[in-house]
Amino acid sequence: MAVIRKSFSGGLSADEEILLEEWLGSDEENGREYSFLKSLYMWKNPPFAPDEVDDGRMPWRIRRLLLKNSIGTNVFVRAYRIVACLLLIPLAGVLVWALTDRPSDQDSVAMQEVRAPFGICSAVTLPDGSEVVLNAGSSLRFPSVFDGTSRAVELSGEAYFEVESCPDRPFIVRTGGLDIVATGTSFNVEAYSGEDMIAVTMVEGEVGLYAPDDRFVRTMMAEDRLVYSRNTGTVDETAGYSYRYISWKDGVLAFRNDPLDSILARLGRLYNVEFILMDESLAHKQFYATFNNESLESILKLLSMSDNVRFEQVSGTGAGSDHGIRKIYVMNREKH
Amino acid sequence: MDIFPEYDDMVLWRAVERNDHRAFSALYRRYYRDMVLFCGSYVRDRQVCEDIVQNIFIRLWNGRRVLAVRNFRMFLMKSARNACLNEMKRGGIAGSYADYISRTCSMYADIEGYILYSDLESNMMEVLSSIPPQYREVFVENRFKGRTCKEIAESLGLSYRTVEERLRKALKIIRTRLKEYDDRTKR
Repeated sequence: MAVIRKSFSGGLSADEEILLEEWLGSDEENGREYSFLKSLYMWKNPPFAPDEVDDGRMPWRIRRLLLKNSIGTNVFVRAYRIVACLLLIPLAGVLVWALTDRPSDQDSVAMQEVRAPFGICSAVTLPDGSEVVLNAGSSLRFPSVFDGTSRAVELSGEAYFEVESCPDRPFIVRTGGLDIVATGTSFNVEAYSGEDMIAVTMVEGEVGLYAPDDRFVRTMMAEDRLVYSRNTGTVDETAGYSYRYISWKDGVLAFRNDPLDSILARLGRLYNVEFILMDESLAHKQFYATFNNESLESILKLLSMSDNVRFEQVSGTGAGSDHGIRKIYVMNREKH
Repeated sequence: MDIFPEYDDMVLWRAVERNDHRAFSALYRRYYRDMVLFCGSYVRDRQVCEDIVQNIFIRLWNGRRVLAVRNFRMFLMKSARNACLNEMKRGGIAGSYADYISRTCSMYADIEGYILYSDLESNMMEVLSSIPPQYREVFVENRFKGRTCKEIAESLGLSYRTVEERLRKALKIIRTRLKEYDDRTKR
């Protein structure tokens, strides 16, 4: 016993080493017992204070790796089944709608606009190395070079930001309603121009929020989520953080008792279809479902299996007609 | 800092295999501190230990499609032990001692017996309260207060052999009980 104990802190004599080795070798079980005794010893005599080990925050080099990989592998390995969300690299110049010099009122820095068309998500790397994933139907405007004092971008729609750390030059997301000011953090912003609400979901780090009149609203910490109303200027933070708010960037659609109308709005943007609700009572029906890179057809099939909803494509609205936007009637199965 | 306590390790790992980095950071948070402390039983420098564990997690993410992980915790511990032994060889920590440790540890010491810090932290008191008080007394005096069996025997008026026997029994019960916790949570 004493020899075992001594071996944990080191400094066994040669004789004692031999003794210990013999004991360990004599029975397989002794090896496990030795490990157990060692864990007890380390628990009471840790070589450094356990509290010094910070397990709350992954180091930046690992977080970067996660972001890069989640985009890269999706494209190569799962391309064949990604109907939901094609993550394209901006090199596919199709996505760059306008790359024009605009007579800017600030100075003559060229603004770029990247737009993810309906049905496609796209990944953008900004001039400072920050990574942005744009959800379908969203657009982002940013200067080709950030100036020395700040990094401002304009968002319409939804995007996930992974901001390169640089405390001296705040990173600002303008949404036409709420400005989000960050230094080095990850967060998701949902700010569709036709909608009243702006939702900010924090993943890591900290941001500050400012109202249109530059009034400071509040700060947000990791794993906070809040919804801001453009009209009333009120803030609702009852939702709470969940991976589902950002899962779209990984091609995962997660609905947790969400009403049908908001589900359809999401699906419509993602698959470039227009849903026509034939029965208003359906709008508030709630659904609980998770879809991982599934086709629109199979999603609709699953939705209609779980409730009295029926989907029917409006004839003559396939590809080619009416800008290629498909229209789908949403009906109540009992009535029609 | 467990963000998905309701999911066990392998559920999260399967999600990691499908690129879910939320699950990955859950596993990271669940094990980071414990693994750094586990490395501390080989390498005394905290920064080195943290680097070792971070590198293991990087390798896990990069290899998520190819690594055959059957028991996540064991996988972590084995990787950590091997990395520590390499580090010790490389860093030339007091040559002979490192040699000796790596020899005996790799040959005999079975890390399956090792209980992680946070598990001891959360279960030890309950286990202790459930064992016979005579055993507990000897165990606490010896393991927590660092007194030798001889000293305990003298102060309690018992024979040396009795103290040794009680300590042995206490350790055996504690080990079995802790193992049960381990299997039950089977995280």
